[in-house]
Amino acid sequence: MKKSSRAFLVMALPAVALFLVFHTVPALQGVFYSFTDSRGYGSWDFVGFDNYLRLFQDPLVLNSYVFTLLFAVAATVAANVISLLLALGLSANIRFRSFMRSMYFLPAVLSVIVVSYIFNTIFSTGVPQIGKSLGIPWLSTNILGSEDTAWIGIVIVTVWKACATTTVIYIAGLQTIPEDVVEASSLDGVNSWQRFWSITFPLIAPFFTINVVLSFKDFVQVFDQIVALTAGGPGTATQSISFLIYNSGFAGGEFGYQSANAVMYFLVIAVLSAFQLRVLRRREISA
Amino acid sequence: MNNKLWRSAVTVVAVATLAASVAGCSSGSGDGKVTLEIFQSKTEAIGTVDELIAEFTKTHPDIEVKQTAVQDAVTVLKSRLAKGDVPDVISLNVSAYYDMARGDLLTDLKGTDALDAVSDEGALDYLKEAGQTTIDLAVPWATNAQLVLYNVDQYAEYGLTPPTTWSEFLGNAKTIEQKDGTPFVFGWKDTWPAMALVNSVVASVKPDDLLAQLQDGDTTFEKQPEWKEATEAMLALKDYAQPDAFGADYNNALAAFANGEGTMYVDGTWALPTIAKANPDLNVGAFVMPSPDPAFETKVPAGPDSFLSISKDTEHPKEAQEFLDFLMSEPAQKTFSDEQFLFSVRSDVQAADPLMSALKTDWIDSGKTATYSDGMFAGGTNYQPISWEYLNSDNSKDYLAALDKDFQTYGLKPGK
Repeated sequence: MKKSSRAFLVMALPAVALFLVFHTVPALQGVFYSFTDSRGYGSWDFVGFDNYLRLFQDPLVLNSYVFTLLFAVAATVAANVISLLLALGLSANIRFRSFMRSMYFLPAVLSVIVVSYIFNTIFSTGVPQIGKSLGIPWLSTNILGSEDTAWIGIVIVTVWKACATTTVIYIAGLQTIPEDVVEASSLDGVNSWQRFWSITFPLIAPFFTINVVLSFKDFVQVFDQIVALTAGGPGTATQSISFLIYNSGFAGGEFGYQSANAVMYFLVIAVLSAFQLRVLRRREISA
Repeated sequence: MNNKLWRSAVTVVAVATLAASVAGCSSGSGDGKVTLEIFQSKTEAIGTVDELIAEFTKTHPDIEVKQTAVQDAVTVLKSRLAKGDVPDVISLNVSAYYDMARGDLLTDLKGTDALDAVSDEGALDYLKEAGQTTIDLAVPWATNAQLVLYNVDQYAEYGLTPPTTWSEFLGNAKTIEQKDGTPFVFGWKDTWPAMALVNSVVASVKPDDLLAQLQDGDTTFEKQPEWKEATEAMLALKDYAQPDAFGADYNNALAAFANGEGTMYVDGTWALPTIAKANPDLNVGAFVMPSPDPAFETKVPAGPDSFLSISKDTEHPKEAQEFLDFLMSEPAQKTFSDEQFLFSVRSDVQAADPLMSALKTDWIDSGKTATYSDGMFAGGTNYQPISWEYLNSDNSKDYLAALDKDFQTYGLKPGK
């Protein structure tokens, strides 16, 4: 017993060491730099909590938090509703089911940045051309060009890409529903709407929770799509938190200040995750 | 069994460590050749720089020069600096010079051939102001100017001549519109073109020492009557932009102008090679944007296109200096400025292109120039998005207040 536990320890050590070197140490360095005025290179001084105080007075930082959270909520709702509908369709008795399933999974294997650049061209050239030829004014302009609509473009790309994996998880969930329950319900004469709300949805509720938690976590960290679609623009309308940290931290030479922002961001994500875990546990108990 | 496991695990770790250290060593070349890296931000100049490197290695066979030119160069370089991975020769847009100079990263070039080759005193002064330093930590590689480019054939078709006053300028735009043409193409999906337009329109009217005045607290953007007036005049141009100008990015706008989809286009001389590549048949002319206030003489926004510097931590300072001296030599300057449509900083290099040559004598050499206004701000500035926001909202009051606030945080601080 003692011998084998040492073997397991040896097996676990490389991963622990790698995690420590490439994750924990840089994270602690980041915390350290958040108390300095470092540019990321050259000389620096300690500034105490100045960076943190400044964060709360910086409208750009506040805007980025509001944008990111609203974006994450909108994208989570859209991705889960669409994925659930897709999963129901793809689990039904339809023709070419396996072919359709692989088609809908395709976005998952494409790189976000490539997808985003393609959508950028679609939004700037493709859609406006269709809009013009149909004579629809709101379709004739690039939605990424306006502060009010640019976020919609980012949500569309994000959801298009995210639906693939979310749908797969829902399909897996639907396969766990026992046949006899469905049969029993049909004998009782329920319509399909009642069956969905009273049978299907409660039975796949754990999958719903996991999808919401995972997709929300991903969307809060949105970065690649922003780089390729709007670069934070128009103006500063679509600057997500991670984009702002990267851009101002490096290009803007505010490494120390944005490190403080990164620490705040970490705390926000930690609190949100803790909250979501509690909700998840409660659901598991009640289920 | 267990002992074996232990040993194999140790072996794996040892091999991995060894492999990593060998990989780390392999960058030092064994054949006596020195490898230099030039990191430069002008992606449109990659071909020209490769030519120059080939020319240089002809006379310096024992030096190999590697070029790195990426999109978003400032961000990439700064993230490399944060890792301690410093290129030998660094060339960046002048707006990045302040941060680099403050970061104590660059070598003093005083007394070198490269610095002595520069006869354009204005460009040197500009660098001193941009870096807020009296030490020559960089040389200007070449200078540029920002202009209104126009489609010569369309101008002839509409019966127009290049304007010299603001009212003629707007008059031309109006004529083009009445004849169902598109007066301007802009790329306002990006924030850079919005900033470029502001820089052009304020160039003639802003005080020469505006930066010093702002630093001393003698004025603010809100108090400055000329700045307000010029940027308000600028809004009139929005009426003459192509449809959905806010949906087109910089590249879309440039391509649209090159394809004749608009008559006028505001950009720098550096855009000319890209336009020529997009449409070699286009007949391009250029004029300086007239002063929006007739009481002020028209000036052209101009200045160093990029700066060249040597990093303090380079392992090959001598070779890096030789390469820099070569880049500033007469033949290299001629190649670079002609191919990139820039003005050489050497007085003995004449531009081959008649348009460039005329601009140089009429404007640059006669000193009718103004600095780029974004140069008053350090790297973290929001000058670009603030300019865009103003163009989008037309709200002058908020715009000037935002500029003042941004200057307080990001305005260049006086040098020591």
